[in-house]
Amino acid sequence: MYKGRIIVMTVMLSALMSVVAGRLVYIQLVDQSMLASQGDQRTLRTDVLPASRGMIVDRNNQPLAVSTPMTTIFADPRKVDPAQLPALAADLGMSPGELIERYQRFSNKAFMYIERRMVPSEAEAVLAKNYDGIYGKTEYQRFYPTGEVMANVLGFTDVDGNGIEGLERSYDGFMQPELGAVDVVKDVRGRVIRVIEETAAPRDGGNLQLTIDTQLQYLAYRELKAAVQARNAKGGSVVIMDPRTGDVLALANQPSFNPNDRSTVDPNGLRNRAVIDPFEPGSVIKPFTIAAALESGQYGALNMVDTSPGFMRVTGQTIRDSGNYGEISLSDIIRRSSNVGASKIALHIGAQNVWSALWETGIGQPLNLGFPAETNGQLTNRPRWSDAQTATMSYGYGFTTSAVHLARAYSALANDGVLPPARLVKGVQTDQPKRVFSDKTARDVRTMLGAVVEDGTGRRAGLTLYTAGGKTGTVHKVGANGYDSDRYRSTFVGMAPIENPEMVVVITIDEPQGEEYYGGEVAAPVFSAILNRAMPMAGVTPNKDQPQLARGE
Amino acid sequence: MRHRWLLTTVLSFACAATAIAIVKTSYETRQLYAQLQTLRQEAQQMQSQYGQLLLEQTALQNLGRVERIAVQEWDMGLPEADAIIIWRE
Repeated sequence: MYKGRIIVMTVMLSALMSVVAGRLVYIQLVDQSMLASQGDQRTLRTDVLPASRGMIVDRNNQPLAVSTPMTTIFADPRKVDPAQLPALAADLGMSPGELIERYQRFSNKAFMYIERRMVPSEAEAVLAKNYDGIYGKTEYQRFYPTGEVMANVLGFTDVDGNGIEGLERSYDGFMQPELGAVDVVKDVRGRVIRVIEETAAPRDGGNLQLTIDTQLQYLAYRELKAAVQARNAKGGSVVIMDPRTGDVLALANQPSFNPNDRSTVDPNGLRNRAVIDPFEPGSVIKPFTIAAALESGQYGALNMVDTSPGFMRVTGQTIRDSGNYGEISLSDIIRRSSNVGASKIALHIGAQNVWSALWETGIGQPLNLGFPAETNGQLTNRPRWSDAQTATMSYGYGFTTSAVHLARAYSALANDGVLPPARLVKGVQTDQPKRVFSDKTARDVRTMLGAVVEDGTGRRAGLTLYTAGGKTGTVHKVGANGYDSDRYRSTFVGMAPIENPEMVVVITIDEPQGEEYYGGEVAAPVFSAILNRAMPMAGVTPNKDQPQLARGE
Repeated sequence: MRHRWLLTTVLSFACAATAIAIVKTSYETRQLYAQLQTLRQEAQQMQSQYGQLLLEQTALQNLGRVERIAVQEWDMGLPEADAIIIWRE
């Protein structure tokens, strides 16, 4: 009995085993194609989980560069059914011939873009039709809401989202997203059947906050553009700085470009001139020569300097004023922009004193704004200064600097002698503010700057509601044969209110055409156009006494 | 001998229990992951909408546009200097 059972069990088990073995043999040897097709239908893939590049925002968190998710439609040409292509082309509003031609070129490849970055809802409608071998994926599109107004400061990214110009480039690593990765099993249509494991979580890039105030930026850009157009100039820049913090509130350049449509970009428009273009600053340097004189203790604000007969010869070079001003005060040297006066002072106090006043206020030193290819300008110290070199330095020739350097240097005068570090990106480590002039020197020079606007070369910089001060400059540009007689750079650097400045503004207009080319004629009006609007907008209390108020009392 | 049987039984049950737990956990994981995917998609849609709204807002608050409407449609303008009274406390 017992034996019988064992035999029955053995037979049954053997039968089962042989069924299994037979099936295995059949699958392995006879029906290979079935396995292969099942294998094809389920493939193990690693999918990318998209994450977005960080935003760039202004000081009030207003967005300046934003990444929005879009849908890119792509194809695996090996799996595409050519008969469906005309319908697909019709859905996308493409020419069917072109699409088919492109498909034929890619027909033995595994990947081909159909249309990049479509509005997601439109792309979904196309993908819902389940064309063979046609898939969608998320890609981000970078938008610049302020358009040309800030284009050459922000820069832009390439088609794959890597920053290649401007701040997009220098802070690329900070704003880059970390893409996620997930292992999935997909069917033949590329649909996910099963998620195996997420091996990396997607993480959005960091947001970059600038010190820029978008409203001020708009204003500055608009007035600059208007002036450059009216003067038929080659270009220009405006920098507005908060002298107490060194924050760059506006940074506008002409020409510019539309960053949202880069099909027609003028390479000239790409340059953030205010930061990367060094130039000879000219007369706007004179206030620092005067500051050096006051600091040396050899001059007081009321001292007189004889500038007659309106020119002087220094080691074979003639320095000229626009007229013979005779014996004038330090204030008048600034007010009338006397080259002879500035030269005489510089020769009296010595080149080292002038040089250090410039160097201490950051001329020739790095800006550290975090912008690619920032210029330092060039201000070299010499072991021995010839009289001609000393004199030319005193009125701003023989060395170069940038518009932002000038804004920073003037901020020291505006900020009662303390030089702030320039800053364009919030939260970055900056140098400590540094005292470079005494409180009194800074105030004395500011009073002189006030006189320039009140009754000097900068009258057209006057504001209706606020006191203002500044200095004009008109520089001959260097051409092939030394200084050109008919190519100028007109500048104005000013601040308001002059007693306690809230803003320092640098304006440079490159090669203005026409009758007017002096800084006081071309650049100074831009100062008043911007600040007449900007100061009330910023909530600065008007400090000029109004006739109405006088009458009312 | 009896101990062996007991051990085997206990281990078998433990094994079965673990197997069920694995099934349950992986089911839950799938559910949660699906939920995460849906939420991510939702977040992305919102981000996309935010982008569109942002552009719209930027277009609407463009300084040039605001000024044009103020001047042309509402007949506003900058006050003349003598029309401004400054009140000092």
